[in-house]
Amino acid sequence: MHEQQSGRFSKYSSLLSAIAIIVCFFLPWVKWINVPVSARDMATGNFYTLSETNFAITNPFPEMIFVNGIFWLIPALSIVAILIVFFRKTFAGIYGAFAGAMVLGLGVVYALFTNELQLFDTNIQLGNALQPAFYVAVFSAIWLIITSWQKKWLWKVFFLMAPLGLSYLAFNQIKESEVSEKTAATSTLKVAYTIDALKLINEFVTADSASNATYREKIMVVEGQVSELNASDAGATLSMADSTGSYVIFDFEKADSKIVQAIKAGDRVSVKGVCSGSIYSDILETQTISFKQSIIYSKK
Amino acid sequence: MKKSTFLFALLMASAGLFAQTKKTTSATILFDASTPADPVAKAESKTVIAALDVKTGTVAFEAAVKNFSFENKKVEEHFNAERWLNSEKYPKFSFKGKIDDLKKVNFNKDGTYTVSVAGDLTIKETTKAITAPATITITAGRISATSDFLVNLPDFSVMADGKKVSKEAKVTVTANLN
Repeated sequence: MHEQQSGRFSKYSSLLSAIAIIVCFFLPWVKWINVPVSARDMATGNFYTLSETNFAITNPFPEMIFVNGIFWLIPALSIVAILIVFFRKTFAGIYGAFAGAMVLGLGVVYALFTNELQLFDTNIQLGNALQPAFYVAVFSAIWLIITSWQKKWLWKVFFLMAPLGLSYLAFNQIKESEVSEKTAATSTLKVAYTIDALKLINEFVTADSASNATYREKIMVVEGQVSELNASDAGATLSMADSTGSYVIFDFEKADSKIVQAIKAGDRVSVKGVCSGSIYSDILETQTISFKQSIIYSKK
Repeated sequence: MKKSTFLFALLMASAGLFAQTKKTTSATILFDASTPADPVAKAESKTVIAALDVKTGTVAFEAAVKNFSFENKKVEEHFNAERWLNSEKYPKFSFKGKIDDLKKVNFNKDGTYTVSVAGDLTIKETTKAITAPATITITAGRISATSDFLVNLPDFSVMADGKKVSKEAKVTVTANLN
């Protein structure tokens, strides 16, 4: 009798848990200052749009954005769990356990990610950022897993612990690989533009905003006559100037310092590098266009 | 004769005027906000514009924010992001100041001179007065200068958590002036 009653209690409380999970899926789990983020945002990919817009943190796997759709299984499996309990009058079983496990895994990711955002905005504190729907979803998920079967305690422990461990490890692994990834060598990068130095300078002098929008962060090959060189074993810069004094300047990778040392003012060279755009120098009263990670492309 | 003498004197004065401001477009700034928890928050730019007026002691430098090169692309993106240096809106940071004790330096004599430089540092929309020690070295008529100072990043609305990124960034400026 007692067992029957507790079984009935477990089944119908799991119903409530599943309903709570579905509702909380669409409510904000975290708030990044004044930016609310729900579980639905992860399923739609909007999570990364918000992180990029607000903190310049991009999706580490943009080509796999479609995989985020898997999180729609949270409300879907919760609905299946409700139907099973309501119509078949039995425990939610594997469907409830998976729905709960996915909520726990996603919850770990949201908490860890939000905690990392302190690096970008010290006003973000994890305790303040987590919203009520986060806590309701997590507790409902735990209860849904516990009530998915009448016994099978090992399975319950597995579905409770596995998502926590896997999410934590995966998050830290991705974070570690992002931070330790070295900038790619310029020689391996695809050239977006090849242009004469005087033409480039003229474009920036004439319309710097438009030119910055076009060329900033692009890999370019610039051809022109060397006006100034500064080269040593520690590093090198090379400039190409026009008649007004506006100039393009290249900051070379250390490995190319010796090659640059062999160049003389007046030589015509092609340089490949990453365009950093221009600034107007109040000191020189000219436009200066900078390139970094430069290499000598060819010497004529 | 008098006219030609006058013109010659004017020419020499003009040459002296142009010669009193030494400039370079290849000064170096090393920016270091790394911590033991995260050693990647440091970068260098070798395309900094610097100037020194040997008569008045006026010094200045300008650096394009985007031309600071990091070992890690993600860290570089964060450095340029809105909550950090916001390089899209503020493409450069700059300093204008003066050597406090210019009389200590004899630009016509080889040697190493330690001075103090005071002036205004502008990062993003904030300008703050700073004072920093500097070393000026004269070798065969060539002037080189170096200065180390700390910048409190939150003073300039640059979000630094103090754990992974130091709130006090060490800035080292080195310039070989012609």
